[in-house]
Amino acid sequence: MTMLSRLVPALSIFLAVLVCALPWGLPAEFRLVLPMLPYVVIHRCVERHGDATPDWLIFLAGFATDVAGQGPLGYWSLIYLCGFTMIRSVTVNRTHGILSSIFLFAVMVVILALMQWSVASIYYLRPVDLLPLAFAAIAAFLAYLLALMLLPPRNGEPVRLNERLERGL
Amino acid sequence: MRLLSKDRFLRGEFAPRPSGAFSIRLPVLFFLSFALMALSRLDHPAIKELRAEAEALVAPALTTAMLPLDPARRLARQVQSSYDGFAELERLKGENQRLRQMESRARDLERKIGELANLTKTLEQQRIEYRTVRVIATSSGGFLHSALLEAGTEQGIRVGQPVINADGLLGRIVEAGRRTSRVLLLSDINSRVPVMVGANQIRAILAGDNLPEPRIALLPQGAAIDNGEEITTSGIGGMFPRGLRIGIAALTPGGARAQLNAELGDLEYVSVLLFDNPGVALTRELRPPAEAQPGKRIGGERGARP
Repeated sequence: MTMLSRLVPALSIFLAVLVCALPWGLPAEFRLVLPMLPYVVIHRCVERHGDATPDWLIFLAGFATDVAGQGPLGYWSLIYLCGFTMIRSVTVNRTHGILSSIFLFAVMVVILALMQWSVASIYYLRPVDLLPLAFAAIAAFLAYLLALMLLPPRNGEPVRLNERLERGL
Repeated sequence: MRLLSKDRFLRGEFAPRPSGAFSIRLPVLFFLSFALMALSRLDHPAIKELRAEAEALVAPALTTAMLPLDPARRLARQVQSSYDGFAELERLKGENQRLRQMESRARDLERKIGELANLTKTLEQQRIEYRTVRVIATSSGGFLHSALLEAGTEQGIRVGQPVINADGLLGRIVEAGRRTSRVLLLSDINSRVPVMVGANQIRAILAGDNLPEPRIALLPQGAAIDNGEEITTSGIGGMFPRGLRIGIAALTPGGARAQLNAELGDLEYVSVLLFDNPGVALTRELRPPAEAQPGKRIGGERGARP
């Protein structure tokens, strides 16, 4: 694993967090759209780079999103870590085609939306509005499709388990 | 080492580190996230300190990132304004006519008020200083509706000061660091502002509930308000000066709500009124000199949320 392959996920996630923190002037219903963008990047990084995306980086990304978004600390860290754990469990030592990647992301984003709703409702001790979460999930799905178009899966790539052997390390 | 690896491989003993294995760090990070959330919920002072430190670290990066964003936002605004430019022009023409009529009426009223004030020896209202600062981040979660400003105690910003823009009141400062401060917006669930509604000056409380239009709560029994009546701050309690514009009343099936004049989701520059609560200022002035020097706090100041 080269230094560049370690740096790329970190830089991508950092940039996504920075972009989502800026005041874009979105209406109130779309407030949750921006914090889902770092998750799209995390998802894509784990799919493409696997081990190069460490868990502490995901935690830091969530923490920075919480600080910049001025929400309760730990919320986005928790959501991103949940998403990270799920995607890493599913993609470990496996390659997915485009359709299966899309299906996987759709399932993930629905689970994450439900998780966000549950955590936020427990935090507030009352059910929170579902509409912004639905908008965020749809926007994240569209962003993922865009990311998939720009960075398609590496078809025909050997299973990562033998990568180290093939390189003679 | 390479020979040793080769030898182990030939003997079938080579076992690469399992790719994708989770480390012990992951549960620790999960626990840390839960702990941070629980402490945030409890509003623990350590979390406030941690947040202030983190905000101070993040602020330069956000300020730098704003530089390329500014032209993009201006461009988007220009495109939008040119898109509905003709309708806007017609509206402005009509508004201009109405404003000219009102201007002459306002001058007349101003002269009359001046004469009456001279007769009754009315004291002039104090001028309120203000600082115009840039918004470097807005809350993007479903929890808080707030904005981070690029100015803090070093620029004279204090907890409790009202924040406005050209459209009217936006909220008030709830946390002031050395170089950054946080505004709790009117739509936030923790926001409560004493207001007056309409020409009858019906007193009520504007209560945020994380929706774009805050509720008009605690109306007096039998008080009737109409759609479109203007809402301004009442000045009760001394937190806000009297008469700051907020928006107009909108009657919905769920009760009266306020359509805010200001677009809270699209803040670029705001003005912080350096307004001290008159009650607090008076207490401070009347305090004996020995008590007037409280223990100094290094860094910023934090206020309990309203």
